[in-house]
Amino acid sequence: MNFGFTDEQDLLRSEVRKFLDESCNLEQVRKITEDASGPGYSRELWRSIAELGWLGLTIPEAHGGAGLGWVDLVVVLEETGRTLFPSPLLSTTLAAHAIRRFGSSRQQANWLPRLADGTAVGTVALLEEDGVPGPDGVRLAGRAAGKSLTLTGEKTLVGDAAAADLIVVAFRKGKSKDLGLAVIERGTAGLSAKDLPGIDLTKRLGRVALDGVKIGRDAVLPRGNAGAISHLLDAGALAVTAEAVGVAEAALRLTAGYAKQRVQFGRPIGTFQAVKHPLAEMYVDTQSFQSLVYYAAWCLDEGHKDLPLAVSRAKAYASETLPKLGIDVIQLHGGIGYTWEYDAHLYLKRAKWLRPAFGDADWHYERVATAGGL
Amino acid sequence: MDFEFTPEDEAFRAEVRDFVKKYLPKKNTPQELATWHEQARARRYVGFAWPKEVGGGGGTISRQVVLKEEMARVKAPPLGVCFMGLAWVGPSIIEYGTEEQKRKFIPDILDGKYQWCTGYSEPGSGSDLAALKTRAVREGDEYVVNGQKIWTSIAMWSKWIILLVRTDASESKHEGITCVLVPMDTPGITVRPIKNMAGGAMFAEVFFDNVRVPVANRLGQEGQGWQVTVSALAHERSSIAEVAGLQRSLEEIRALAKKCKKNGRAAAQDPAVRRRIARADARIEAMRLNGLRFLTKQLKGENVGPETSVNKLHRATLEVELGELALEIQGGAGVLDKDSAPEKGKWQRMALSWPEVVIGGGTPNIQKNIIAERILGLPKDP
Repeated sequence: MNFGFTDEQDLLRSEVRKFLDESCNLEQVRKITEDASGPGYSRELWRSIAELGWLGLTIPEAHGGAGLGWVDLVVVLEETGRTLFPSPLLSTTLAAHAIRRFGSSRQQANWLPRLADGTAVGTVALLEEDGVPGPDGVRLAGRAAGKSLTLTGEKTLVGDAAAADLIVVAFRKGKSKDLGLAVIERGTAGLSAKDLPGIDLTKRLGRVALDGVKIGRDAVLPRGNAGAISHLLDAGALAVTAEAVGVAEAALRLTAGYAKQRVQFGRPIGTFQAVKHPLAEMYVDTQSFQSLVYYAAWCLDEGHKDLPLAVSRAKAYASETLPKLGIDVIQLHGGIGYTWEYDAHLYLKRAKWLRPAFGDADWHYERVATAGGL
Repeated sequence: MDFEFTPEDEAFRAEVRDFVKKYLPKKNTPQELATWHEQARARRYVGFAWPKEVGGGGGTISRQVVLKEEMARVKAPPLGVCFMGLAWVGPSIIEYGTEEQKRKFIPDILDGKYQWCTGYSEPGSGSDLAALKTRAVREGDEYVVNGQKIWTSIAMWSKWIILLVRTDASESKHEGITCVLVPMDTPGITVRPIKNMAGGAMFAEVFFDNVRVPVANRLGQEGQGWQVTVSALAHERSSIAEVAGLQRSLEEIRALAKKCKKNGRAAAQDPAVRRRIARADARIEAMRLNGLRFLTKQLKGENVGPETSVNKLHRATLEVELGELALEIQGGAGVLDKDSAPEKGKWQRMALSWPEVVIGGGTPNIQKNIIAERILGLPKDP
């Protein structure tokens, strides 16, 4: 019985933390993300984290990765969340996960090494205009003609759309219930991708349009069915919630630190219960969705049947409480929290970004209700 | 991460299952319950965490967990009947008592010969327990106790009380407190039951008027009472029993929601009801997993302290929320009671009895102070 991390995982955490604190503090995060004409991430840091092995963390060693699991990945994501590290790491990891899990060995050998060493940025494009996360929302049409497939439709809220070299796209064959996943390379005729302005500058989101994109059978993942799309939704929800743990911890630390120093009415405001109690509630919520995330990651690694339920509990809890935490952080700071210069708003914005990502609280709570037999 | 137990612990689980299979009461007859307690006692499952020398089970942390899991799984009656004796009076005596006190009290607690009650809170010291004023003045080999306790659960059915008194008013709040063990039939003790808002009387006021207590009945040193109280509350921290209770309530609420109509449709179809049930489900699961994280720390030999307030807060919120939810699911019938209410008013009772667990042992606001001050390091309120 051990619901904790190994020494290796603790070491991984301290290495990731050290690198991020030294190479990408919040001042640098702002510099990278406030440049509207830039890519939204640092290519130099991208190469560094590829060398450090973060991009290939869950990719098998045979394809240039470290062959580790999602519990290890959660360790990294908590840290990238803590520092609001802007990069397509999460999107690339999800694309690699899809190819590894649902692709043929030839497809894996073709794409995974490029994702592991950072020469390609990857992403997954699941969501469409009606906003239903998961298989039911997939409308993008795939029409078979001989050995090729023609894809037409549009995906929205795609992470790192403009940066992506490989996009894993969910599609529907004709009108049938038959769903699939295809990997489209940047530059393919008929494919266009662009980022959209968003609230959270540390996360790039965009639109991917496919206008009669013709692909061969070798671009279709053989095990990419409706179940696979559901699984990718689970994996995505898990990954963003793992980052949210770090976000919440950092926001809480910033605010508790402020409450110890800021003096009003002749004493630090942290002596007042009106300040203490919301901070204590933030701690309770952060600890709690952290526990839910750890268990969900363990379920993914073990192939445990509880995975969808475990993910939904974690994501619903985080989607519900992180936005409230973001607002409380601003209010507890008072006027300074409203300024661009002070960092509090960065966490508030990430909280708003998290809320709908890979299913909002309503959607995930409904899944929990159904799983409970309602 | 690994959620498996060792083969030795699993062998112990098999033993427990065998015991359950043989002796779990089917109809809760007095005879069945008597056999259950007798057999549990024979296997030392009563006081399982206590050292073997005093008659306990000497169970390791992981076996305590296995035992609790198995009891929760079959919704078993408690192991032992002397509730407060097993929960904290016994552990206090084991840690601070003299050999004679251990010989005198521990076997009776394990056998459930009589009940103990707890004299901590006073009218002027609830959340601020250390402000207690009940005085004990030493006269020769005796203390003379004067004062009043309140919220003393089961005082009217108890033979002994574990009592906190102030022996030195000049010392700062925590230092002047001493712990004594007093027979409830000592002259000068008056018990007056208090009716709670659910209509029952489980707790009482206890008055002390020149009550003479032999110094030999003191537990620990004079002035050590606060320490005796605090350290006795440290035990296995996995919250398994609490989580099992909440899971059971939620399971019953799901069934209730399918049965009851609310605003013209089954309550289970109402999106707001569905979301509240799912919300509670996620929080109960978070409690379970938080508990496993505390347990992991304990198994590694680390101290688990103020972070257990996280689960206490969850439990407090959930006890209130589940009672409210059950009444709302019943729609208009939620205002009825007893035989005219759904399930004979069971949920009405729950919705009116949560203070027992929510306020007893530290209110939610006190738990938040503990987290803010002892974990987040915020300054104390002067």
